[in-house]
Amino acid sequence: MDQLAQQLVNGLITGSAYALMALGLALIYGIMHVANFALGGVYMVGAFLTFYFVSWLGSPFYLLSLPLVMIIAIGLGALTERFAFRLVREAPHATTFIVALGLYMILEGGSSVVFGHEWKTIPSPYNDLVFKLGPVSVTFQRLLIFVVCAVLSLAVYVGIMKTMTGKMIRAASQNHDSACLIGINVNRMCLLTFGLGSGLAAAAGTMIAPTFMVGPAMGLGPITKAFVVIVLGGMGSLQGAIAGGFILGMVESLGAGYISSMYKDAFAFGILIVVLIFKPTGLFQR
Amino acid sequence: MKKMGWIFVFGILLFAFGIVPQLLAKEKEVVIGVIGPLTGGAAFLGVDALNGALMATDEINAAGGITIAGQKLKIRMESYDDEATPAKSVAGLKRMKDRFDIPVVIANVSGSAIAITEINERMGVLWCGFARHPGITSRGNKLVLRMETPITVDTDLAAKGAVEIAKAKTFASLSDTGDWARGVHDNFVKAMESRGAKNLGTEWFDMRKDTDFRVQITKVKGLNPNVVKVAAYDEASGQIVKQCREMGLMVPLVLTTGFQSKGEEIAGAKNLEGCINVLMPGNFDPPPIGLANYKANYKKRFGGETAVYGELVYELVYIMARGMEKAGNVNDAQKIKEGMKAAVPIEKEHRTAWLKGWMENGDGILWRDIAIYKNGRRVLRDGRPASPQD
Repeated sequence: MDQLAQQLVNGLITGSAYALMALGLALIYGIMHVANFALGGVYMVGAFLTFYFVSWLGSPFYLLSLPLVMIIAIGLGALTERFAFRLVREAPHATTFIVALGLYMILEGGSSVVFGHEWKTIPSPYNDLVFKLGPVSVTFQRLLIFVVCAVLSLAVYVGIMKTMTGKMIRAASQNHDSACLIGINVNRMCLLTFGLGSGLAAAAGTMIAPTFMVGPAMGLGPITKAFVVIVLGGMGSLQGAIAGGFILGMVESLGAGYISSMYKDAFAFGILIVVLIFKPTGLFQR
Repeated sequence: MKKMGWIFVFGILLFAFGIVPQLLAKEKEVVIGVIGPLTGGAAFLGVDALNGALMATDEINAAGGITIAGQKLKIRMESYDDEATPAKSVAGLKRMKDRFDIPVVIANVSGSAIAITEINERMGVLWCGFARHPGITSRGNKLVLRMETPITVDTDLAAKGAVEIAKAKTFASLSDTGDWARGVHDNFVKAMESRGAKNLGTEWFDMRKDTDFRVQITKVKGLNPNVVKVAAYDEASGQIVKQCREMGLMVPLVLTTGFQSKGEEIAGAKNLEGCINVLMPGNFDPPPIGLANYKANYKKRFGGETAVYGELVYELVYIMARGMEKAGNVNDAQKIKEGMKAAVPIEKEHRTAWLKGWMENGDGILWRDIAIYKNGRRVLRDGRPASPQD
């Protein structure tokens, strides 16, 4: 029973990390229909920026680095949209995917040159605070991931569904030409969407990186899992990204905990295959 | 006809700028291959090892290089990033042999070394390195020199420490699925069981991808062992130690020689208290002169703290240089090997690993003892720091 409680908490925390990572991807795909693999690189850049901010400001100011990193990442996302994705907007999906992949490799390679190969650790003050509730232990840092995931998900949902700008973004995603006709600046909406998606990915890097280490190759694993999450939840569905993240986290945790830890990734991809067989559009997509 | 003319000119230029410099260079330098992970999850090991090799090479060359039959030769290290992937290691070896006719290759990751030592003998290339997998020296390969003791020596010491110091009657393991870690794990299990301890189980992970080990730690905690063996490299081990303590797993952890300063920094002194490991010359306090100079120079040149990987390769390159001079040869791998065996021990100014010699099968003989962690440092079981006199 103790083990079950701990594994459930493990799954919840892992799921919130996946959901946070998948949110940016789901936003961009849902609005722009672009599978932006480059977000793995933005996630990594966000983590590096956090490392340098904390080194500069000191670990008590760790949480202050979150909005700073998000702002820089929004700018980075806007630049990628303006100078890469806009040029291939009318091209087939495979082309945009290749552009995204290329951008990821540029970010990874560039980070190796600029930041070096050595893995770095972010000294978050919340990593050493451990909460124990009966048999369950969890660090405050991991709880923060869950909280930040919840706050950002809500903010994105409200922003997209309840604000005028969100309505314009949705209108632009449905039909560019019609949106133009009613006076919506489609290019600006695309810039905003990519920027927001990148900001979310960088936020994931800021929150998750203190739980392990920061290095140029750190983005590949999470972005791959994020893809699994959004396919599981339904491509482009924000609710699907959140639910998919938690489902994946739980399946991995309970599968590895009660069957075998050697096949953790097999459980993740296995559940994806099962869901796609019975619901090819994903769990939350009609 | 015109096209043929251009092809001919291009061919001449290629020869002039490609091959001629190499031919000329070949007369004045000997190229040594260093194959290892310079990117990816194991880069900390490969980069540190390469740095050690480069430091030794630069010092030797600055002192005039090596003298073979009255001729001065420089050493040049040619590195290849194999990302700790055996297939790439083999490709790297073939490429270096084709392009530079290397007589010696240094490769330090077990999986890569196992793959390289499948073919190095017939290619006439001497393998050297600190890879620990027992298979490297147990297949009858005549062109291997391991700059380390075999895994069995360290795992036996670790098991001895677990039973005698931690009084362990039961144990469980957290192990990486790679070749080296599996070798450590399997030999540790044998050593513990030979001492009457009961194996409660093993949880596996892939340290090249995994950074969150809480699921595995939760399972191991549920087994309620007296000690837990952690078989992984530096940073992964550090994370595991930290996460074990976060999850409330407070039993002594038995670590490996792959756990070095970076891992110790990540784990933190408080979390390491009472853990067991193996003492190596890098843990001597005060450090002997060769090691002290190496650490100081490494920091000046590369800006960071050294790990044991660079220390081992630094001394290895010096032994190789002295060995080539003793053999009077820089091309014949077998002669170089015999020269290296005769060159040990080298001058103390360059001894950073304290190699005493080599066994017949190529395994190294180095100083080792059981260590416990006190205040974040590895000390002898009686609490004293180890010194060269021990």
